[in-house]
Amino acid sequence: MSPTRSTRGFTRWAVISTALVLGPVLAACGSSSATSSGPKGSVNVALNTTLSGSFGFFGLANQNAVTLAIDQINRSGGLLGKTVNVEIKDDTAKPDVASDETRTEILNDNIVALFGPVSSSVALAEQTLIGRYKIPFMLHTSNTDKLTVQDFNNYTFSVVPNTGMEGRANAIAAAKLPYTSYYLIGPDYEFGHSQLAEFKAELQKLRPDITFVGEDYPKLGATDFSTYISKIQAAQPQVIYSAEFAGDLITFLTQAKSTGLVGAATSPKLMDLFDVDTLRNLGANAPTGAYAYGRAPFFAIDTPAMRTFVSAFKARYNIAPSDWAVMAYDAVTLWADGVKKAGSFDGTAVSNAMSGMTFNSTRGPLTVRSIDHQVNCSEYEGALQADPTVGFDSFAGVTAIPGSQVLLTPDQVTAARSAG
Amino acid sequence: MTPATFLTILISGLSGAALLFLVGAGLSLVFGALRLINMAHGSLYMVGAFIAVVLIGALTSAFGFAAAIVLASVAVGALGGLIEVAVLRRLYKRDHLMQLVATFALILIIDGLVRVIFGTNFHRVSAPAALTGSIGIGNSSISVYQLFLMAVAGTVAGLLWVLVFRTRLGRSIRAAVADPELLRLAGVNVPLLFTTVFVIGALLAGLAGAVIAPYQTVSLGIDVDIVVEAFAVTIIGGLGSLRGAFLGAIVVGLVQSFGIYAAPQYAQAFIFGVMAIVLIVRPSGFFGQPER
Amino acid sequence: MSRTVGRRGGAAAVLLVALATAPLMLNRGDQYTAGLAVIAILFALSYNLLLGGTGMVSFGHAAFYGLGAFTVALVTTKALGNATEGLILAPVIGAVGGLVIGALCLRAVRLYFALLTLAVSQLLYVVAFESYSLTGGDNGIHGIPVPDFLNDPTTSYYFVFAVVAVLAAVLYLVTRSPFGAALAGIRENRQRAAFVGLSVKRYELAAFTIAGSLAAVAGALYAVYDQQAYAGLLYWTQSGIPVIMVLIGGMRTFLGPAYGALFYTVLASKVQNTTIYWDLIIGAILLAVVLALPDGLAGLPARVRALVARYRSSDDARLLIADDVPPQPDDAPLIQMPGIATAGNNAEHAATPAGAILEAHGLVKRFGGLAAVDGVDLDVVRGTVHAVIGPNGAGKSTLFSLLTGQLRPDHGTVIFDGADVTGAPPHRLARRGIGRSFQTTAVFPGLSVQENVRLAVMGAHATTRQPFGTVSRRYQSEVERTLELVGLGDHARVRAGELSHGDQRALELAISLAVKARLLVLDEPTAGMSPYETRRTMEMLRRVIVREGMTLLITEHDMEVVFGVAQRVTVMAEGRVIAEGTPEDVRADTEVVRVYLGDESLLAAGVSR
Repeated sequence: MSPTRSTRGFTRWAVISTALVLGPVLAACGSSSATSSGPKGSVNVALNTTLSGSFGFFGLANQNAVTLAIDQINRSGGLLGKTVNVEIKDDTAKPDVASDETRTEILNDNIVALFGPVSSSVALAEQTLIGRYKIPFMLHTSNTDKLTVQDFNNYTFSVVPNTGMEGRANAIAAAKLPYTSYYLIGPDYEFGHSQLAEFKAELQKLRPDITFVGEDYPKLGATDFSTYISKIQAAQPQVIYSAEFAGDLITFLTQAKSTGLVGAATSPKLMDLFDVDTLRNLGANAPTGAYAYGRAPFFAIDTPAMRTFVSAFKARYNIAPSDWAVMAYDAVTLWADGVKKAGSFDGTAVSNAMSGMTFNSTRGPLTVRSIDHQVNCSEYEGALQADPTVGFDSFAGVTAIPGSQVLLTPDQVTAARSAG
Repeated sequence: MTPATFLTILISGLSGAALLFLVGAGLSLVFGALRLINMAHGSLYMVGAFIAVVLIGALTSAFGFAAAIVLASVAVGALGGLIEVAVLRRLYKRDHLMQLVATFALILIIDGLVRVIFGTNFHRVSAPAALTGSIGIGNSSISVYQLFLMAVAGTVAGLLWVLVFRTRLGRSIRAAVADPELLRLAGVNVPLLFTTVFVIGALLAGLAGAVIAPYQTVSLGIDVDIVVEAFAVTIIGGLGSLRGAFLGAIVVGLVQSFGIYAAPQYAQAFIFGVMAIVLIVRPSGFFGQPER
Repeated sequence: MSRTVGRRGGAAAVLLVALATAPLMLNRGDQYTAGLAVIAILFALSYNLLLGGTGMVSFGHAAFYGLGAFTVALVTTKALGNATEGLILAPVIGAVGGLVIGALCLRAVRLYFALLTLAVSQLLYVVAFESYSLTGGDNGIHGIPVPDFLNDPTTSYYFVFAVVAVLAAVLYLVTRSPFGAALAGIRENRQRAAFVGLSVKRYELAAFTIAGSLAAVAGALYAVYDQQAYAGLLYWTQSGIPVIMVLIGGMRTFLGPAYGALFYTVLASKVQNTTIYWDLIIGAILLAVVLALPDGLAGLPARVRALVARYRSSDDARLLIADDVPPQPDDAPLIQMPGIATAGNNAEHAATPAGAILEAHGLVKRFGGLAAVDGVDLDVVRGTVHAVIGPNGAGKSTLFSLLTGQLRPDHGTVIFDGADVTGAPPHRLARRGIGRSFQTTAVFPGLSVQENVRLAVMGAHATTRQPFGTVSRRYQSEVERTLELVGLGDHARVRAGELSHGDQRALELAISLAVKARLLVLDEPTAGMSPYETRRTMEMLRRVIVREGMTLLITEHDMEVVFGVAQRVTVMAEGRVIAEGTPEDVRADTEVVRVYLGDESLLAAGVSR
């Protein structure tokens, strides 16, 4: 018997008024429960990343990659039979905003994983929260080693080479070069100081004959490097080793080129972080021939998983994925594998499952160490070359310095933790 | 420090001063004539930079670069006129606080608009080949573009001097700076004068953003960074004085470049320290009008 | 008035109840945001003590918030103390910071003061950012350990709520105290406040210190609540946030900033991170508030009511005008002042130094190369009316400023009632008994007529130092008596800014009487008045001077007033005294005539008699 119009109207009214009365009551009770699930048959994860300001492009790459990854998961039946919803929020690189968002997501939306921090102060703020509420925390951009060494907790995982690994890997690459005088320059914050310090210590160890003729830390977002350039010129190094990246790197290059510090025949060699987004932006203005290091440049990594990912990313977004996108994608892969292995979304179970696990990433098989949940990913070293197949400069003569060569030993990690 | 290094750092300081003068002159002029502190002055500079990136990239012909700079400046000047007529006119009778807050609101609004129109990524554009060379000095070198910046600032300073001291408009401006009450008595069309001065100030800000665009990256956030430096320049030099903006820019530019050489960690702090000292000891700066 | 109080009290009660029961009604995540909102309320209230309370525009308030947060962070992570100790230390640090920063910044005034607060707080930001070993640099300090009970969202909310509620109540009492009334006076008319005996800089410093201390508590609460502190809290744009909150909520009422803080925090929490339009939205709201709603949300009901009333009838909604006595015909005879000599009796009132209440010897004041006052001697006899006249630029106003402490003479002395007061600041002269009025009326426009006078009375009794105790009925009889004397008894409740010009002059006189001025220095008391108002003012002055035995020193351009009233006249030109004596002596002086050649008023005044 089909309902008549008036019956349907009445039913609708009854449903609405019941909802209005019971809704707030249910909301008050329901959301204080600790079980994790949103609407039936789905779970929530959060991507809190920096979508604004001069690091906006990091967040955009993260957003693109994570969305793609989650969509792929959902299209193949979801995770443990449930659809995964990803909440994307802009943390504006402010720790208080990030804390507020994260806490709301944890308490209201019962997220089961957190991705995305870019700035280290945001990452540290979020790490405290996820530790308390036991939510798996995936680091794929922010790479200060404080996160996995001194401030480590069981729920933190990193698929990006941390500052120590990066500095040491670059030192290994630099040690092979025939140069003996270096000038160090990096942005004035945790990343710059930490990475440069690791590089210097390791290079000094490998090549005691090298002298460091100068060291400078321009403020992050500096717009005028000319005095620093003068200082470098005065010191006459053979190599400029730099941790400047993204916008600051581009400013530095523009000004260095216009003073002949970079790009002229008599210029010192430059060694710097060139990620795919920056190379794409520089286009023909990239300093061809400069030594480059990167964390996950797709053109230097030839695995079936990478090829599949690159074509899927290009199909959807019309550009090749940058290093940040690659690592964000790997982070989702790791977490999803952890969920499948644990058979549940429970934070502790998933974390225990991920610890010690080897998973198949776009960068090849990677293992998650149990001491610090850092994967043994590689740092990629080469020299910039024009590359018509890619459309912007890529790395010539690429070597991947494997994580195993540059990770701190478990004893060193323990020592650093008790000292700090 | 070798003489060559000293010279290059000096020139760095002066080219930095060139930019600061362009930004500070507009701010100072607007304050002197309108008694208005425009906190959104840096935002106008940022808009000029973004527009220049687009135009310089688009106009690749021989005179394209110059045309792009001019067009960007004019566009920002027009924007300034719009802002003055639509918003600021209602605030002249209000107290300083409301003016400050309204221009602070404008910072937010302009930031939001730039975000929506240009996106959140950083932008980069190249200078024309003629300006990208370097000039060796001993074992140091300077960039041709630094000289270009200084030339632009010098030319603008000259033009402004002519405007303020040799034209009728300039006379009205000087009268406004010296004694606003006189203006009305002298039969000057005050609303038109105010709009004109604000447009000039905005044009200067836009010009500053346009000429610096090829020399650094253009992204959100350059507005709040430059506006505080501009405050320092105009405070040290004296609000309302062009000579003051010139001198203040040189002081700040040199303190920054030599400060970075000598004590890089605290170079930033120096500027605020000097600004604070000036405000305490002699708030009207070198050449400004004493507070009435 | 009591209806407003009732309405406001009701709103406050609703707010209190809503905040107290928030945890019960919100889910846990929103409850957390509510705690942040409560902290923001304290921050905004502390800021409004400066802005709405004292009229000080600071652009560096975030520095105190950051100081408080780092106090807790450093105490717990570096000094091995606990969070409670940090919370207790924070207001102390904040107060010390307020004293130091305030003393530094208050050396500048108004706009420069605002810029100085910006510079100083930005300086502190750079220091915090660079001091990596102390503050964690750009990382900040995270994972601040807090006592167990603060780990539960509900208990920590109530903890924050309790602290803020208590401090807000204390702050409320302070704003209602004589001290708070003094701050209001400074806000309404800074210059005038000095002339009722308030040492303005000291009160401003006190307000700055209290505000800084409370803001530090807010920062400390944040550090405890969010368990972190970082350098970015001190960046200058963070100082814009309390400004936004106070302006949106309304700075004219005590709770306005609270509404603004709630509005901003909730809106930010919901909107900021889900859209790229946040800056645009909040900027547009702020601009709209500045342009259309200067009293903020708190002023919205009144605005609406005013709009409605204006629509209803154009007659009833007229602003109250005090002066509704019908105008007199213009040719009524000049008011004579019995008991005060008119021209012709000069011999009996020749000034003798022994009877002088004010003496000035050899006063010189230079501005740049110009000597505005160039060696002026002046003797004002007790109980007389002494006028100083001269063409524009003669130096009369400068002379008056020298006599009342606004300017310090380069040379010369000023002796008041036998004591050397050369160079003493205005508030001290006011306490000694010199009252001044200005070319532009100087009352406290936002306060009612009786509040104006009451503030002056409290200033005279030095009661304004008291930060506690209500103000409303204090010295009421003295206030009423003074108002009767100047004819404003019926207008006690009217807002001073709404009085007619003549009534404002009367109020000024009342204020001077209230501070027990024995010498009244009036700068063109009848400037801009109609003949009727002129007569009324002079009549009132006569009454007051005769009854209270005051001395009057005036400068005037209206020669009818001068010659009808003054017993002694000093003529100045180009910074010097060129003639002195009775009005008759002066009018006959050839030098004076030469100086005034072409000035009809002097000659006309003589002719009309």
